[in-house]
Amino acid sequence: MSILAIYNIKGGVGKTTAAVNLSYLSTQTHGPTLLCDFDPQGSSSYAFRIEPSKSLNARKLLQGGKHIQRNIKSTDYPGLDFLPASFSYRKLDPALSAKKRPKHRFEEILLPLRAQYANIFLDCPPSITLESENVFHAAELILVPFIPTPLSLVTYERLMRFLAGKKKGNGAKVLVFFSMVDRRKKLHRQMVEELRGGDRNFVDVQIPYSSEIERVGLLREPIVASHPRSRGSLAFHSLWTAVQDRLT
Amino acid sequence: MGTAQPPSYSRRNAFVIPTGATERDVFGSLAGLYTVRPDRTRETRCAFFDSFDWRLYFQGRLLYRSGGAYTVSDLQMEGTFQRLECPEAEPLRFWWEFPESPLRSYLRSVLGPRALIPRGDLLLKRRMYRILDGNAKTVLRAAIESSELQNGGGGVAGPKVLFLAALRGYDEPRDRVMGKLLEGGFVPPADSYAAVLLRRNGTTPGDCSSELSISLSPATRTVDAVCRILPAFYGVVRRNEDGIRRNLDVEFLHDYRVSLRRARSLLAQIKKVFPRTALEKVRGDLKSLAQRSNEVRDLDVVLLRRAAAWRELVSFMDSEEYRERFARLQGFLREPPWSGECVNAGLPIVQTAGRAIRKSYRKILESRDVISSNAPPERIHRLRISCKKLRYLLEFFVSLYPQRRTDSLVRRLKKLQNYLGAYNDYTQQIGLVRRYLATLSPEDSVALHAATAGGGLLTQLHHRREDLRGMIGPALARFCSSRTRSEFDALFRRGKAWRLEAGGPGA
Repeated sequence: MSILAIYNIKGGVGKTTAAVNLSYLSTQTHGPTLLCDFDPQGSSSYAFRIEPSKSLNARKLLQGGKHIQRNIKSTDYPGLDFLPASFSYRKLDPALSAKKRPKHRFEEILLPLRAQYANIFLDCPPSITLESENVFHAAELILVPFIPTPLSLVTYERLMRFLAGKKKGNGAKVLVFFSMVDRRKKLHRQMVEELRGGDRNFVDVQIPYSSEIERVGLLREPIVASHPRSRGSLAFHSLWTAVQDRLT
Repeated sequence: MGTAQPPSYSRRNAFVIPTGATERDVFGSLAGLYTVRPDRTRETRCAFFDSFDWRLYFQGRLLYRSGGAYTVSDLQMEGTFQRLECPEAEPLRFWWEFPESPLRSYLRSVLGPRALIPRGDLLLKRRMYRILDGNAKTVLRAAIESSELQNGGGGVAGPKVLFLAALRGYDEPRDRVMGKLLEGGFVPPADSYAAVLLRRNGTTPGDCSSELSISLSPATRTVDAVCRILPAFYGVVRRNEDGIRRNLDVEFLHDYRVSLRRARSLLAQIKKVFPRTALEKVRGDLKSLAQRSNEVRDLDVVLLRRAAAWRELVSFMDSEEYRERFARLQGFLREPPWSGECVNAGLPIVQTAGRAIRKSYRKILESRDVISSNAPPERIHRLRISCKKLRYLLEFFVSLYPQRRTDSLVRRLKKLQNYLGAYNDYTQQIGLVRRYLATLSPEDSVALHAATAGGGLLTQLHHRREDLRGMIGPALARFCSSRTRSEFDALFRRGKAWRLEAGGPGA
């Protein structure tokens, strides 16, 4: 059983798409899987057509137990459960500050769920806050979608510096994959070439920038389920294989 | 952890779909609330097995083989208790043929020496549906299942059922849909899935013995009563033929023989109902049918050289002679012959039956000294036969007498019979070992070892047989006590013809 966070300081890098597709693949290969949408924007909730929870808020989420159990919902895909987001998660940081061991609260609330699921995915909001620190502590693997641009590299280096300055070993949890890669752009091709093999946190998996993947938001289905033979789908399969390799 | 499980369609959230009802009838009431979208269709084939005497069914379990795996489930085919991947091409027959596993241990505890017999193939067709809310989100899954039980001679349609599979976090849609279905007159199944299937197939689990269940009226003419009982025995004989031919379990042959014996016993003990010459022919036919299976049965007991004897019996069952004898037996029933000597034919059955039972019991009373006098095994054997005859009579005519009182007599008789039966088994085995020893050549060194072992076995068998003699005594004394005698007199005496007016056994 593993907790996998999909995280990036930047927004719009393909976190939700990765979370939705990888959690679906986990269900196929490992069995019961839970995806927790911690992003107050609720993009994963939208992708799975699940209404943001009215009864769950930041305070109740941090209490854990029955508040979480009651709000878990089945997706349309057997074996894949979902904890919907709440708009009140924007206030998670003040709520966390009020707790004892504020950086470890996620670890504690997710503990009872470990017995129920083969894997738990966390779709995280873009930021670097107390909530992010909770995610770093709770997760066994931090999956970072990386758009191959110089600006992304700056953000990535900042993240690694942050992690290195915190608990030892958190940096080793990071697995970076290329996201929204547009092979028509020279810059993208150059960056991918430079980084793959150069940094051991990077895996050589490129999720393409494609209209099919963009349509995920429209179809509201994981591409691996709706277009299993598409380029995007095959890339997510490769990513899932790389994730499993890293976990073992 | 395993891979993704299919949704669990619970038979607890199930509704019977009446014959002829369409998909529209089922889901029509949901219009405006939800959208019903057909999903995939799945076909599964399951081959069911149980023992001759339905041991698994009576434990509330089903054993089926589907897609190279054996599953033990409950009667709803829902909860899986044991599952074992077993890609053998041929179905396994005995628990010891299964690989070491919890399923094997379970079968061992339930089946003992009994074989697994194919009970039919079930073809399950499931059409799945997704029930969607206004967001096109699946809030409930449904499946309409139709089934066909195929038992060699064609298919029997099983119940058509709608199952609902609730989704986590969506209790409200489930409750609403269930409410709508109940309002629409759809009801949950009243009986277990297996029970409904078997009933439609005309199979009654446990209907494997040759026990008689014919209700007679005391005033029925004797000839009519006999002609009603005999076909029941013939029916059991025919029902067991297939099991014997396929060599499925020794119990098929046992019941086959018991029914022939019962038919003969009835014709022998209820006298002067048919003309002697016609009767002798029928009894001859029955005797011949039984005799042809003697050897297989004897060898069943010791599991030796059985195969050849069984092949011989099966070829007899396939012969013209067998068909002719059966045709004669049936013809006799269609037009029972009559002549002036058949003085009992027109008498009420309660009178003839009572007389026959009294006579049969008297015979047992006369053998009372069999234990005290250290009688030879042949006399004990005769006592066993007398007891068997009386037992048959009590069973044939059980419907004529108050059941509580006959049950009590049968219980005592049964106990005595058990001891006598075990005594007889030992006598048979002693005879068989002796016959085997007689075939050994004294010059052969291997034969000498066999003779020594055989001698040891004989001594053991003798000891055990004599121990039983000590148990037969008290049981026989109880069955011949003055209390039992007066019970027999009270129940079956001549004057009991008053029951004719009083309205039968309930009086």
